[in-house]
Order: sequence, then structure tokens, then C-alpha cells
Amino acid sequence: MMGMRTLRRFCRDGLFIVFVVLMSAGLTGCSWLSSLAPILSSIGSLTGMVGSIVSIFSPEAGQKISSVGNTISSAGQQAAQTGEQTSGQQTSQSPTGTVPTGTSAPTNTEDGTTTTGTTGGSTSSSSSSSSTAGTTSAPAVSPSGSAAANAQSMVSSGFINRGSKAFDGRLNITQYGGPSDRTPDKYTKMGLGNRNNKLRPTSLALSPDLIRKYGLKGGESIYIKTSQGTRFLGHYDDTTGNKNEPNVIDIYDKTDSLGNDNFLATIPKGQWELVIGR
Amino acid sequence: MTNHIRLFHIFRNAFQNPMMRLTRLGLMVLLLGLSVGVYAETTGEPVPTKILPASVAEPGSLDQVKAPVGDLTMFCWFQPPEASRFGVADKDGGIVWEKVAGFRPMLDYFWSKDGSKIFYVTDCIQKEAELRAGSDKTRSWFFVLDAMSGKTLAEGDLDTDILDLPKQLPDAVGASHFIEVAFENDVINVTIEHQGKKVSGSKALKDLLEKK
Repeated sequence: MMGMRTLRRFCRDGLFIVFVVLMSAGLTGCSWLSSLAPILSSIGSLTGMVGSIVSIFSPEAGQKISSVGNTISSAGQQAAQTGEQTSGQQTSQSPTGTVPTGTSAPTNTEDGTTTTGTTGGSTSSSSSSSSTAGTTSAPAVSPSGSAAANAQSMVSSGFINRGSKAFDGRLNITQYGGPSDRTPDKYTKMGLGNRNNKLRPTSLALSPDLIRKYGLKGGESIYIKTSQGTRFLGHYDDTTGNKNEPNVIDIYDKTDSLGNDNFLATIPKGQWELVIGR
Repeated sequence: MTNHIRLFHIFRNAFQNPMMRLTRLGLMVLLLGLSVGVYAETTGEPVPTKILPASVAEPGSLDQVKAPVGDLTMFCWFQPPEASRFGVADKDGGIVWEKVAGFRPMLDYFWSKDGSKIFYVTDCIQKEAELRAGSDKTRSWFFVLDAMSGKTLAEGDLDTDILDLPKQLPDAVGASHFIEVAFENDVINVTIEHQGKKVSGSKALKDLLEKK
């Protein structure tokens, strides 16, 4: 009897909570949903970590827990997107992290046909890039925001799209440095980049081919240019290190705010350029 | 009862204690292990050569480049969370020598035409790396390595010591570049491309050796 009563009370309370959520969603236009995103993402990451630990003892159970974590993280991202869309705030037009189309900045064109060729082989080797590079100048709007937030905003506004990793000339944007990073190297754990520099919220690791192609020295602002405009993503502070994976930008995401090491957005071959600021 | 007999009784009683028995047993096992170790070291087979894996699971990577002459292959093996290792393997994949190349370094490596030397370029300045730049002002620190032993024959800053970029293309000093290398008759010819501009430089190994 007691058990039934408790169960009934739980159901009643649960229904009440669902009702309140639906009511506030209707009244406020879901804009508050975006505030749920970090909470859900954190829960997702935590679940993912538990999954990783459990998978040591029971791979199947661990995998299931990890997939639940992924789902929660995705729900978080969905909530963020829904929140942004319904609140009417077009983050793509926000003054931070965006550069108006047609700015005079730039320059180094990227057609995605780069050959990695920089690692050698024979006595005279290495086909060099055919890119035409010009001078680099900083775009008009000063960059800001975290790289993860900028990427999230790009996804939600359709500037970049979710996709799968491939090395066919597309730009691959991934994340690293969070609790679920599968390549937790010592230096990233210490928060250091490739020049013993401190990693920051806007830090990016670029693949060696991109670093060489644009003649980067370290710390430059990285903008992505598509037909929709030119937008700031972050700063070049680290290297992905794997020469077999060209055209990769890895976003430093210390808290896994982009998900459980599974964030992956792409821009098809020929539809992107990088713009380098000082 | 004299003192030493009393002491003996104390020890005997102590060793009859179950905890002390366990300690005694542990000591015996340790001694046995040490004996076996010493025996194996003196009479056993030599430790087998470390072999390169056929492939490395993602997100690790294994890059191998065969020498133009001979059976050697140079490799760069990255298996997170360990640092990258660069070295040379024989025709069976047995590692002849290897050196720590650092975490996430940008590397270029080229064989000399006769396969006796390696021209290796790195941007790594991490102190754990054996092959690390001697200056943090460059993205292109080079080593000339003996292929058989891995011994460093010469090293320096590619930008200043071979290309003389401060004179040829000051903007490119300290930046990352696409590199082409021709290493023949102990003369190193390097061409870089920096933002569409090509710059070349050449240096004889003996000149670099003198500098060293």
C-alpha cells in the first residue's frame, strides 16, 4: 500500500514537472533551453567517463553507458540550438567572432587539393603546395569568445555542418583536450600547446599541412571563409601532429562543452578558405 | 640467561608470529626471484629485438619511408599517450634505433641519396624529446643523423644556417614551411615555399660539421 502511494505521488509530481516545463516553453519561446545545454553536456560527459571506466571491466556495459552519455550530450546541443533559434538571436550576426563578408582581409586560398607531401621520402621529395598566398592582415572585427562557442554558433547557424571525417579536401573541425579526449597527451593535459604556450579558450590545433601552407608561426587568429561570410574560430596554438590527416582543425575544449569527443563538423572541398589574422 | 640467548628467544618468538612468517616468506620469494633474474641475465637468451607493429590503431599513426638504397626504413611512430618516436628499422621491422620525438611535433624527414644519412626537421622544443630544437625562435630545426646508429652528425636552424632567410625572405623567418630536400654527396639542398614564394639554400655537411 505504502509503495503504491509513493509511486502514485512520484507520477503526479513528474507529470506536474513536465507540465511546468511545457508551459514555460510555450510562454518564453524556449529561449531558456540554451541554458540547459551546459548542464546536459556536463551530465553527458560525466556519463561518458563512467562508461569509459565501466568498459574496462565490462566493454558491453561500458559502451551502452557511453552511448547514453552521447545521447545526453546531443540532447544538450539540440537544446542549445533550439534555444538559439527560438530566441531570435542570430549569433552569426553577433559582433564578436564574425567578420563581414567582403572584408579586405586575406588571402591564402584553400582549395582543398593540398598534398601532404611534406614528409619525405626520397632524396628529393615533397611536392609543394600550389596555393597562392598573399599577405595576411587582421580582419576588421576583433576576435573573441571561446573556440568551442564559436564552433557551436557556426553549427547552429548552418555556417558549418555536422559530418563525418574524411580527407578528400573537406575541412574537418573536431575537438580535443576534454575529459573524453582519446589522445590525452601529456602536454595537452598540462594545458600547453606546441610552443610551450598556454592553451586558452580560443586555442586551436591545426594539422601540419595547414600550418605549413599558411606559413604560421604561432598565435595567429584563424577565420573560416565560406560563401556565407568570414567568421572567427580561434587562435593557432597547437598542432594535431598527424600528417596523415590533412585539413583538420581541432578545437581545444577543456570541458567537453561540444560533446563527448565526438564533435565533428565539416565544410566540403572547394567551399572553404582560411583567413589568417595577426 | 645471558643477553644473547634472551635476544635469540625474542627473535624466535617474533618469527613464530604469523605476520613475521609472512614477511619471512616474502623475503624468500624475493631472494628466489633475484636468483632467477641473475641466472637469466648471465646464461639466458638475449632480449629479442623490438619489432615495429604492422599498423597502429587510430588515433595513433605509423609512418614508414624506405631508404632509396638498402633495406632500412625510417619510421615515425605515435601511439598516444606516449610521445612520438622516430627511428630506423631493418627489413624485418626490427628497430635498429629510435629516439623520442616529442608530443604532437611537426616533422619532416628525408633520406640521403645513398641511404646512409637522414635529414630530419622538427619544431619540437619539449624537453623530454631527444630530437628537439635548440632554439624556440624557429619552426624548422634540423638534424643530420647517421642512418645506422642514429648518431647526430650535425644540427642547426634551417632558416638561418642553410636558407639564410633573414637576407632572402625575412618574413619567413621562424614560420612553418613546405620543405623540399635533395641530399646527395653530403650536400644538402633545401627549397621552401612560404606564402607562394620559393627560396632555396645549400650547405655541405662538412661546413655544418665545422660549425658543430
